[in-house]
Amino acid sequence: MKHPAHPARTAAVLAALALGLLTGCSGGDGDAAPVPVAPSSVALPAPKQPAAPAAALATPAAAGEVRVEAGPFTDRVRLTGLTLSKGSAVGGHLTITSDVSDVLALEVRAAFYDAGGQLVGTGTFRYQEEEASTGEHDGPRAAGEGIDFSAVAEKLTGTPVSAVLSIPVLVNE
Amino acid sequence: MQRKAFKAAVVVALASTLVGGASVAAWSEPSGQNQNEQGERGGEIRNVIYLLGDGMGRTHVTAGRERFYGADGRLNMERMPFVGQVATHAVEKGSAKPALVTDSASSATAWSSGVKTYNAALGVDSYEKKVVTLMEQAKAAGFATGNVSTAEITDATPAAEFSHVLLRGCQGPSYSDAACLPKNADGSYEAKPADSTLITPVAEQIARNGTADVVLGGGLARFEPDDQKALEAQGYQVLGSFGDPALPTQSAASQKVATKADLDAARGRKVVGLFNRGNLTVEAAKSALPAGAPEKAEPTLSDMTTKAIDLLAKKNRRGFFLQIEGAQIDKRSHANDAAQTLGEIKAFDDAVAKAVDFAKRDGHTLVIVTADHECAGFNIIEKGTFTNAEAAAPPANNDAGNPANNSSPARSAAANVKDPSRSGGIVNGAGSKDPKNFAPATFRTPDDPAGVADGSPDASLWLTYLSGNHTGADVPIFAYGPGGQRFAASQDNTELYGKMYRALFNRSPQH
Ligand SMILES: [Zn+2]
Repeated sequence: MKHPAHPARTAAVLAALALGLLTGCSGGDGDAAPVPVAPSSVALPAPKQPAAPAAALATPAAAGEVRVEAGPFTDRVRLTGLTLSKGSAVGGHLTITSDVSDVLALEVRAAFYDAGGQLVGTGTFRYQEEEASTGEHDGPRAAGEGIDFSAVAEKLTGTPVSAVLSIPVLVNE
Repeated sequence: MQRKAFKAAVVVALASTLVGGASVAAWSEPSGQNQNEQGERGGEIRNVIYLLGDGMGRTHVTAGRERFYGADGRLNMERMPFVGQVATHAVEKGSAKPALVTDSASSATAWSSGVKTYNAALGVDSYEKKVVTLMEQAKAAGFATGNVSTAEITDATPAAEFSHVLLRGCQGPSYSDAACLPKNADGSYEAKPADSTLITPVAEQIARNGTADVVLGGGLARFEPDDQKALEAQGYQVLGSFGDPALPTQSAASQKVATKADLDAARGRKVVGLFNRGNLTVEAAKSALPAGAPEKAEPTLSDMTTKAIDLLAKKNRRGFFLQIEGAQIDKRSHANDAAQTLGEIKAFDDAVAKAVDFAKRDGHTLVIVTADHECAGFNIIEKGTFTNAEAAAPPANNDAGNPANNSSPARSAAANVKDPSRSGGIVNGAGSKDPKNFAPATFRTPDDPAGVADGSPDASLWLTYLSGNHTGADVPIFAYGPGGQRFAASQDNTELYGKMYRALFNRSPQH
């Protein structure tokens, strides 16, 4: 690409570097540390995962109730018309209120609870407006008119009567 | 090498004697040949301040000048002595094939690491190989470093200097396939990379890699209490609060944004200040809010620039490298909001003035002002005219075979009129309620008579947008200070890396 990769020049630079290190000269700055050629390699913990849904509701929910759990992005959206339909999906309308740029990734997670308040399954709605490959998006957008969404339960271990929504992922371009 | 360094030292000493103190500006005009030569030897350039207006094309600069200083005025960036232009194209993923319109991630990786990469890539090349960044190199070599933005600090432009991810959407607080993993052609996700850094959210990386000493911007919602703990363990002063460690997830209620007052009081050598949970508030919107609104406590880009320079220049022998982004020029251009776009250009240009003022006092600071790409095809049209988007019919290209170009006009006079269904009046005036309106926005300038209002047909600055997307236009670059003449050229965005590298380290890049 645009790197000065001419062999003679590279050799000259390396020679100058070596000389600089040997003689303690580094362009007038006596304490200059060498410039690394490798990226930062600080040991990082594993990529963080979203907090798991509570195994049981702290307070009982009414049949059909859909709660919204405050999280990192709940203050950036407006959720309306939330319903628990057929006992296995949470639907509604979501409008992003903070940014108008393309949504790179949005995830709405529904945690489903049975009559006893025990977790019986989860479902996730995923959405994005810009495919990295094409940069194109058809249909309604999450900012402005907003989008309809539905988070369908994946593996139910009981009969859901209520649900808790959270938004673990929201990124705008 | 030693002899040359000795000579440079003598010249610097002489200059100090002549001007009576090293703190007096030694550099003012491009004709200062001795200064420039010293700059190339490295003793002269101690600090590099790189400012960019995201999405700021040449017309954004012109429109900002005319709006705020009049046709004969100059923005602060336009007062800088060296002017050039930068080509910005990206490449297709997994290849060197040009993709002519870049996004902010690819573009920022180009100047941060000197490589072309695919759109959405940060700190990796087109083949997903992690590449060292200039800020990492500056930090490792003993420079103080700073990263400032009006966007979320995890957003593409700042992130490219101090993180490495396969997709710019991988910002945090938590990992998700959709945000962090690229897709194959068949729509399935790529396998997770062997180096998990590349899918570790940017916030998690920033909080632990110590690449920037001073981190100022938005995006508090991307961070969690364990990030604050990790920062504090490295000696950072963290302004505000990243939340309550007892809670499983953080929210607006549990986190506390930093404020301008916190920033003013900050004294640490390493400081993190996040002033909004998302992007910082657009200046025009902030000024319209009532007194006491929490957004009013956010610093301006100028405030953050002044403080970052102050913190980085203090007790620092080696010098510093500071990147500053005016992010909302792009975001408001995507929205085709000319009033806020103009306001953000002004806010950015005010920050440029702070950097140049410091460079003038310091005499050893290179200031570069540019953009990552143009956004939205911003145009200044003649007062009283209209664009093709408003016309009854587009011009037909029916004259291609005629060398004399003297046949019948390409568009009939009858078609070259406004179509009322797409031209409902000036969009920031009479046509503001028409959702299908392609008419221009109009703004008064200092050259207009008193009483001429924005949004009226009498205002002289008529602005239009081509689209809501980036364009492939070259962007302007301005430079001030020793070595600044190297930027007075037509250049590719990857070349900015090598030029800044030489300014900081006095030698050519090694990789
Ligand atoms: Zn953009």
